[in-house]
This record gives sequence, C-alpha cells and structure tokens, in this order.
Amino acid sequence: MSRSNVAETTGPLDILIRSVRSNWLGIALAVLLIAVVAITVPSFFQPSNLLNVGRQSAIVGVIAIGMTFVILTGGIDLSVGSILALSGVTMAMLINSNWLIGPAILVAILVGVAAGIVNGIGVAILKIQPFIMTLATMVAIAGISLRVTRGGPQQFNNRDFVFQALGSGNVLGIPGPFLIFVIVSIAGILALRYLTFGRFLYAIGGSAEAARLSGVRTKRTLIIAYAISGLTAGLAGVMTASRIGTGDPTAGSLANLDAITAVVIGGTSLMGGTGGAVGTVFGALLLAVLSNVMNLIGISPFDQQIVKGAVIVLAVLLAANATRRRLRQPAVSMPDSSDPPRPRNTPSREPSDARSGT
Amino acid sequence: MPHNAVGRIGMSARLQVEGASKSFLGVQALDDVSFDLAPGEILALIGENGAGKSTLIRILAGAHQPDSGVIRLNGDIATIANPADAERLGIATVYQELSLFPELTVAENLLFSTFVSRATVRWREVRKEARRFLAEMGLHVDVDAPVAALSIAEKQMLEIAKAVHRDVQILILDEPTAVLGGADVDRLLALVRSLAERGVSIIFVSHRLSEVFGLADRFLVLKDGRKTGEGRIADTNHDALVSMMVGRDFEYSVGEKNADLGGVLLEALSITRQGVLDDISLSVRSGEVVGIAGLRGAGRTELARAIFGADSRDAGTVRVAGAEVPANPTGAVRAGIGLVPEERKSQGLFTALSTAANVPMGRFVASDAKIASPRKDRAAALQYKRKLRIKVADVTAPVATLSGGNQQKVVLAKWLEAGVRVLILDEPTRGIDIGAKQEIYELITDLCRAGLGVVVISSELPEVIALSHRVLVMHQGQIAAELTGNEITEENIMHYAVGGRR
Repeated sequence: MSRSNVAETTGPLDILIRSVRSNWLGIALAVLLIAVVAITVPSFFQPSNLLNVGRQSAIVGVIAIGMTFVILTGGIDLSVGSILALSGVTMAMLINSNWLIGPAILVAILVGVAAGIVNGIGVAILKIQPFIMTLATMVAIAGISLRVTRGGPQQFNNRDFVFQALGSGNVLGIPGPFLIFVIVSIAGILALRYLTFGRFLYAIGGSAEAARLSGVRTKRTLIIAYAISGLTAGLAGVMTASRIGTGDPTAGSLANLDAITAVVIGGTSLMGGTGGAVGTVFGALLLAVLSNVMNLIGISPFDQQIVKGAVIVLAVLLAANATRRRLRQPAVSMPDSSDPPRPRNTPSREPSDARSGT
Repeated sequence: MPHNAVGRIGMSARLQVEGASKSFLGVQALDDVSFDLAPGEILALIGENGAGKSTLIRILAGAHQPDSGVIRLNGDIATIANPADAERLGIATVYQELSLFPELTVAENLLFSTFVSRATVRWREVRKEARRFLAEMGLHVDVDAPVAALSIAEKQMLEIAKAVHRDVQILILDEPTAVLGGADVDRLLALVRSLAERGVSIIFVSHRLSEVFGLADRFLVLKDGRKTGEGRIADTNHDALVSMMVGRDFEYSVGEKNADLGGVLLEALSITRQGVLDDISLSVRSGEVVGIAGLRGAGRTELARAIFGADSRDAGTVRVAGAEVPANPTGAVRAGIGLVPEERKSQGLFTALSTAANVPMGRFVASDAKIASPRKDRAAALQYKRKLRIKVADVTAPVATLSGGNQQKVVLAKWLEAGVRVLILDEPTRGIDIGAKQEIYELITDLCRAGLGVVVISSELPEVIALSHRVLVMHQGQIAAELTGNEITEENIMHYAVGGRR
C-alpha cells in the first residue's frame, strides 16, 4: 500500500485525500478498533485517557519516524534502543556535572547523530549489511552506556520546566512528548515529500544502482538517513530520561522492535522504496491504542503480546495484498504504439532471445 | 579436420532436425530449419544477434517447443518437452550464464545432481570421483576450492565437465569463448576437440569466425530465423560466412540524419580499464550520433560506464565542451551527460516509483536542487507524457506497470528533464516493439537537431547503421575501426567486430 509520498499532489486537500487513500489500511484498522472500543470500553474516550494514549505513542513514534527514513532505503536500524539509552545517560551525567540544560540536551542528541553516522558509514562505505552493522552497534553502544555508568542508573533532578515539558508534563494542556511527536512527524512527512533528499531515499530503496546511475550521491544520502535515525533515537532518549528523571543504561531495549513494527504496520515495505511517514504516524498510534485498550479491558500482558504479534501479521498481509493489486492493475493496457504488428520478415530479434543475443 | 565425415546422413546421424519453426507473438524466430549432426561431429552455429541461434538451442534443450518440425535422435522421433527430457536423452547445454553455485566447491558443483537422489553426502567418494574425472578431462583445479575462486575459463570448463559427467551425447555450447582471452580459448578448444574425439557431438555457437575454422567440421548459418548456409567448413572462407550472416534487405526508416553538426561536445581520451578497455579515445560533436558496434564482451557497455564514471577507470579523461568531467556519475550528470543503461529495469528506472517521481530524479542531481515540488514534478511528467507520447494513464502509478517502450521513454524523459547535452544509449531498443522503436529513433534524430551529442551502442546493426554519422567498431576492448559515410555497412562492421584486419 501507501506509495503515498510519490510526487503526485496538487493541493492540501489532495495531500489529505491521497494520504488517506494510501494509508487506508492503518486508518481502517484504527477506525475498526475505535468502534469496537467505543462499544465495549467507554472509558477509553475520557480525555485523560486519550492524552495518555498520545503520551504512550510519542517515544516509539519519534523513533519510528527516523526509522522510516532508513527503511525506505531498504535498510534497517536495530541500534535505536541502545542509542536511546546512551543519549539519556549522556544527558543525565552532563546535568549532574552541572551543565546547563540546553547544552546537555543538545550534546545528548548529537551523541545519537554520531552513532547514526557510524551506522551510515558502515552501511554505505564499508558495505556491511544494515542488519549486521546496526546489530553490532546495538550491542556495542549498549556496552558503552553500561561502561560509562558502571551499570548504574544515573538519577538527576528533572523538576525543571524543560524536563517536565519533554517528559511527563503538559504544554498548553497537551502532553509534551506527544507535541514533540507531532512536530517530528510533520518534519518527517515534509522532508520526505518536499526535499530532494527525501526523493533520493525512495530512489535508493527502489534501486540503489539506478539511483547511482542517475547521479544520486548514494553514500552521502544513506549516511544522512542513518544519522536522522540516530537523531530521533537520541531525542527519544532525552524524552525518556526527562520523564523518569534517570539516565537508565538499560532503557529502550525493545524500542527497535516497536519502532520497526510501527513503520511496517504503517505500510512501508522493508524492501525499501515504498511507504512513508504518514503511515508510520498511524502505525505508532495504532500500537499505542491497542495496548491502551487491552490494558483497559484487563487483558494480561502475556496475551497482549500474542495479540500484538497477530496484528503485525495481519497488517503486513493486507499491505502485501494491496501492493500486489496495485501492481497487477496496469496503468495502461495499450501496446507500445498503435503501429500494426511487425510483419514476418522485418529485421528484428526474437523476443526471448533479446538477452542472450544469439 | 573432419574427424568423422562418414555417416552424416540417414539413420546413422545422431541428431536430425527437420523443418523446425518457432514464432513468438507473431515474430518468426525460427523458420523451417533442418540439419543433421553425426556422432563426434563439431557443428559451428553462426549468425548475428537475433538470427535464431538461441531459439534453436533452446528447442534442443527443452526450454522451448517448436511450432512445427521434427527432431530425431538416432533415427527415432524425440519429444523434448522440458529440460529434464533433454538431460535424459543425453543433450546438455552450456549457456553463457553459468549455472554453477559460486559458494560451493568444485567437487560439489560437479556432482551436485548425484546429491539429489541421496539423503547423505559421502564426502570422500565425492572428492575422489571429482578428482578422477577432472583429471581425465584435463582440468587441473583444486576440487575443494569454491567455484568463485576459479578463473572464468576454469568455470566454463567445469560447466562443460559437469555436462559431460552426466553421460552426454550431444553437447551444445553457447558462445563459450566470448568472455575468454587467448590462452584460455586454446585450452577450451582443446577440451572441445577431445570430447569430439570421444564421440560426443557438439554444436558450437561462436561469433569468432577464426576459431570456428580451426575447430568445426561443418557450419550452419542462420539469419532472421532461416538457414542461409550450411556445409563443410573446409569448403568455405571468412568472407563467404560473413555475407551469409548479414546478406539481407532492410527497411529501417529513421528519417533524414541531422546534417547540421556543431563543435566537439564530448571527448573521451585514453580511457583504460585494466583487462577491459585499452586506451580508447572518442569524440562526439554537437548534433552527431556516434554508433558503437561490436560483439558481446567487446567492451561496449564497459566503455559507456567508464565514460559516465559508473565504473572506476585506470586512466583517461572525459571532457564536455572542453571542461573536464569528474569520474563519477554525479559529476557526469552535472556536466550534462546522461546514461540510458542496457539493464533498463534495474539500472535506468525506479520501477516501484511513479512516472512523476522518476522524471525529475536527474534534474535534482543536475541542478543540485534541495527542494522538490511534487506539483511541478507532476506537471513535468504530464508534459513529457505528451511530448514523448508515453502511453500511461496515470503518471502517479508505478512505472513497473508500463510496457518496455514506455519505460524507456520515461528513462529518456528523466535525462531530457535534467537538461543533458550528451546522451549515451546502451541498447536503447532492446526488448521494445517496432512501433516504439521507431518513435525512439525519431526522438534521437530530433535531439540531434536540437544540438545534443548522442552515443548509440547497439547489437542491432541496421539500427546502428541507420542512426549513426560515424560507427566505432570495438573488438576485445579496443576500437578496431572507425567507419564513416559509405564505409558503414554490415559487412564492414562484422568484419572488424570478429577481429578482421584492414
């Protein structure tokens, strides 16, 4: 599904229509879920609960937006959970060393960017498979966090307004983390749609060699994609630490899987080249709604995992079907030209011989 | 040279093909072809690209079914419905694309088919048998080495050994020497000769006429699917074979060539890639079409990629309008060069993306734009849809749904939108139907009138001849000849392409 961000829009309404059309799966599932919930669990719709869902979706959502950039190229980033922890630890330790809040946050996020650049160099220049490269950094970065903290959580004073806004507090009555998610989502959607960089990501995911032969600087583009994933993971680390007032070296251990799930449910193909950030937003929201509702109904955490697994399979199956339908239905059924078929002895090659050149 | 001139006719022929015909989508690929093959005989199968050689081979290999005609093996009518039938009947085919497993060892590859019928692998026996058999074949390689570590010639010979190991009676070799150099060719030809002496009948497809004369007993020439010559190799000569290969009349209407040539636009000087391209220089003027002809493996695609900077080069510079071009694709695109690759679907296009997303990709690079405007991109796509007559209902649908000709127009639109001054087209009409071909020819001519310089690489000689102001003929990584005006004929091109001298 969702070949949403392919250049094809004319106005804001079109953007909306096309987004809806290309992300119908996530929307349909979400609507269905909400309908079921409205009947069975009225407490879901209490404002305080809705805000809670927004807050719950924020951290995974922010990571998933960055992850979308990487997955669009046909790659993957398993190291985001470790980056989240390292970034949180970095910020906590800097605050405890009496750094100002602003610089501490900035450095923590830059740590994430640096880790992403390492991933990008490994993938783009050293040609290591993304799965392996980011698996390696996932392990190594987790080790760095444990080493610098000697394994202990780094508590810090998070009563400052900035930490409240980033973590557990509200801004203008809306949970701060959700606001950040909204901002990051809009930035991601716009970047993928309106920057040539975004178009290049789709191109690389479609065919890296075709992109290179179109003149795209594929290495640089890939490194930036991984850097963005590192950036959003770093930001998520700052958000996590702000909320709990602790830089926990073991935080975010499953964040990579949650983020990948959100991206995939949102209709972005792991093969790269198709999908987009709009779908990812829906994917992240769907995951948050799902776990919130299951909590409200009182489904046990064990059963929740089973349901989540089923939802992933269902979403991906439906998405694959939608893609197949779209590709099977030809854009045009006319032949190459209206000329009559080639007469028998016109010089030409036999079609099936075209490749082997008799 | 004939090892076995007796018993070619009648019941003692091992293989008889009688009136084989095959058409694809109304195109006659093979038209009433008959021939015999005796035990231990080497038959050279000769013809241009598209003459029908592959179709014939595939019929014998069980990959295609003839529309009409009879195949007899040892006098009995044989049905070769699939490759398994061919194997059972003792017919083995070695294609250019080798079917070896690069990560497995030589021994495993050689005896892989024996694995299928067993649950366990007896390693000691496998290695012993591989050693024995390869020694018998005169192929001295480590049976424990992965196939990826072998040279191309060794792989080729291993592939042949694999076929022979399965008790083959008829061995078909599809251009086995096309990718080999001097000494390797000799080794391979020696192997083929020794197999023939052991009684294996061989159909040997080659473009290199010189090796055909040293090897084959008889020849069979195809052209446009029909047999145009057959006989004992001792009774013919180089020129006679060439004229049998190309002697036909063409109707390639390309319209008037652009007569208004400007100054030199593209210059490539001393382009060298070790073992692939040997000190090649060429220039293209504004408004000019330069054709590059040659056999597969002569280095045509490699030359295009080296000029464009897609592959690294060991030496050489490229200039556009006098300014040196950096040796990478980005530099080439910014300098105004566009490459339309032979592998259209994997290298020229983004098949999962829409027409509207494909078209602006080159411009983004050429202009170093940072901001994309989906609305303008869509308008541009619609404009090219009209201008190039791209048959696409919805420019926002993935280009994977378009036909080959329309996909090629999208690739061209990408470069026109990028504002290129030089276009390098590698097999621009391969796999495209005749109507769309015509449109692409007209487009090329129009682009020349607009002052672009165009390089056309093609295996289809009439196409090269009809389009080009000049033709460079490549042979083994070098430019064997530059032909202009009346010199541009199929005979001349083939003469130099197969290694002929002035």
